[in-house]
Amino acid sequence: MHILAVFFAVLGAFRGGVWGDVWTDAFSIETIEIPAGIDPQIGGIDATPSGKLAVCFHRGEVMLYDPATGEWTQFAEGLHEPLGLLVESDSSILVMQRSELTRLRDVDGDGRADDYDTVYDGFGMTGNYHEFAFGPARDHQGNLYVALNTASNGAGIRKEIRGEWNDIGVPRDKMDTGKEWGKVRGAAGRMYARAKWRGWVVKLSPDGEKVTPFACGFRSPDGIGFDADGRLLVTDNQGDWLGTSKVHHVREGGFYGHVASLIWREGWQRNPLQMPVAELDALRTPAAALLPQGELASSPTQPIAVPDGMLGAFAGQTLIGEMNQKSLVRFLPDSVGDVTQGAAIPFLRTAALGAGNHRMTFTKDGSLWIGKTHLSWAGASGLVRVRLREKGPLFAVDQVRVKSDGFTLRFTQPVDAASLKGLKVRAHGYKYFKNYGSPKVDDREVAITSSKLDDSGTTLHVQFSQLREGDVYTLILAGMTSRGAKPLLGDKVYYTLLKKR
Amino acid sequence: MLPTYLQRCALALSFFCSSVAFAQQGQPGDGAHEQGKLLFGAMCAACHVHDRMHVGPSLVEIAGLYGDKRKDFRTWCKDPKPKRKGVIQMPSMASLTDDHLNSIHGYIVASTKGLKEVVVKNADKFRASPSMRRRPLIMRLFMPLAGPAAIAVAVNDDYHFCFDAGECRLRYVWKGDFVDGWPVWKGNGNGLAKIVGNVLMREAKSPLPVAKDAKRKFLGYRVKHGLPTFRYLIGKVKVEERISMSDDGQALARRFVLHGAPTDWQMTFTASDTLAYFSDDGRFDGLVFTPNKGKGKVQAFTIIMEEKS
Repeated sequence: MHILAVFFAVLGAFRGGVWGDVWTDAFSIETIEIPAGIDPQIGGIDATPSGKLAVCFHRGEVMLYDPATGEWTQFAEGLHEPLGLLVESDSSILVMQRSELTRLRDVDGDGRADDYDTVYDGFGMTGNYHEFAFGPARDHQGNLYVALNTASNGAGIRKEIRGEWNDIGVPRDKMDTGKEWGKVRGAAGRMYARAKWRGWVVKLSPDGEKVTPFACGFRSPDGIGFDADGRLLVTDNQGDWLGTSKVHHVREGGFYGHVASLIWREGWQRNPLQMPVAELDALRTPAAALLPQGELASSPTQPIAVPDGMLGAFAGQTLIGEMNQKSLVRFLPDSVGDVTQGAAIPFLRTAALGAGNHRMTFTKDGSLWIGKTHLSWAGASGLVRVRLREKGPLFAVDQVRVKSDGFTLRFTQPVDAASLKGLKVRAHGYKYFKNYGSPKVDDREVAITSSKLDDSGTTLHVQFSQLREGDVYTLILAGMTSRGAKPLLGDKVYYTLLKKR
Repeated sequence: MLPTYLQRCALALSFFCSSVAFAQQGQPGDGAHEQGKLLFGAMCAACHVHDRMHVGPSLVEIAGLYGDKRKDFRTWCKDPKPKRKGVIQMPSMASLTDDHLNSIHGYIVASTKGLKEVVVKNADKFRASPSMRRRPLIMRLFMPLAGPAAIAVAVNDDYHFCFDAGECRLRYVWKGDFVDGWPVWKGNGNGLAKIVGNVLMREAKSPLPVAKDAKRKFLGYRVKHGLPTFRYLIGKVKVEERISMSDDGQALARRFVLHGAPTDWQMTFTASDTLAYFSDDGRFDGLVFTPNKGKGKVQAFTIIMEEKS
């Protein structure tokens, strides 16, 4: 009996810890076995009309997984580091490789691709390892959007490149990886974009013929997708010119902060690295959401809209993958005028999920499928299936709106007023500069002047004496429960305030 | 339900034990340690792990190098240098203050006490897997002696070639055991595949009679019997090119189908010490090949590339 008592004490102590936490109580997380012989790093995933999953892997295989039978079959192979996949039909799949956007077609109906048609390869490659290619995302008109990574000065370029070279910056003959590289790499920029459309999002007409350089200022945009309201969201990773990782609402013509890609703007003449930072700052559109590094996210990936009728109270909202942490992120936009900003909240933040969360899709049964990767950074590999357990309504924040003097949070269930005791608010900013990442600037606790629940108990008004635009407000909701004693799913709200209401 | 319950107990116990062990190693709860841990998570954890080489060296190794040299640690973090061959140089952490770096240093030292370096075998676990060993095989990856949009093709167990989708032309043919792609796959692509075997022929330029700056557009490839038929445009001429084994299995057969080419086009091939060129579909005059006159707008011919005895 004593031993059992110890067991129960230990179990109790770790409730909310390694297992049996609020997330695994609400969702089941199941690991799917990947066929032997395949490096299980997943670059893209999408559901087919017949209910299978199309998945592309690190070494170029595209495999089909049938959830009904658990069987895998091979659809294509030999692709160059595919990092995005979009199903068009059961016999046609778009895949973004390092070198091109490719349409894979099974023409003879044997379940394997026969035609590998190049849809778009009009972007440059220097051979630098960091020139990844992401996407495609598709809008309602059928246009496709791809995002192109900049090169890293962890290496130079290769002798042979593809496409046009831009002369702004270190001369090309000094950009070769070699003994001299150490001397010039600083002047090249931490991440550089000397090949065409690097650091850009490019829009393609549905037939791939019309190419529009859509927006620039991206560093490592390993996440591109549309939310349920048709916003094009692109994530980017902490580094030079990015104090922390972030989410952008991308519009045509915008510049989103990483300076290297500016050199491909029409008529552009200057080296951005030699421009005053204030001038660059004035050009940029700030992020819709800053994701505090190490706390909320460290390497954000694909944004995806939760389809209607799926994941209970989270339907219609946006989830964002996260590669380094055992977590996803949920983004709740709050537009003020034409400014998109909003709240980012941890989602499925549980050891049971694991790290490496890279690509996501939903199947009609409501399952969320997450493909994992690491590409030699911190992450993981493999495929997991997340399903909502049928345990009644979920308790979470489902809307955050800024006011002139604070925030209004709406909850899916009435809040137990007694559980509001733990409410705290902090705020901080980040520097915009060429350095790799920024520590928090002016990190401070914000005094709450008032916090009130409305009569229904589902809306909480939090007021402060001062709200500062440009800062991230962290609303700490630790210990908050519903009147039905449900714990809150996601108890920190990180609101990036660009504009007050 | 019982096994699940027992697993949960075991998990909880093991976590409990490891927490006790951790408490003895570090000083969790100590403010500087917690700040160091947080900053490490934010700024370093993508590339460094505790006990093994990752993108950068392990914390065990860093603690060994800088455990009692905090100033040197700060200097390195602010101004890192290239150090290890084949390892990406660390980005500068100049945005962190001395206090930040000291707390990271403290965290590294405290959290590695009692830990040992785990040597990770640098080997390709998937080298022998079916999707690597199947022949024929098409594989796009960074190849030497070619542009960045290269495609490696294993025609059979012995003969292989590299096609360049950027340049729309064959780059070289080799004989051996295809490629070792590990330099590309082991990380994030910061390496070139190795050609396994001997290069038989490197083609200096496209054999088609086109100017060096002629507009080329790669259209993709169609796969039949595991081998690609490349499709590309040179100016307005649509080219299909396919390399397979000849009917007798002794040589490579390189087939061209040209749509809309002028009927007087000649091909000029690159000299090879090891390969001889033949064709029943036209006439060789040295390295210059004149196809037989075709009918209509389509010309098709096959060049046999055979090893010289």
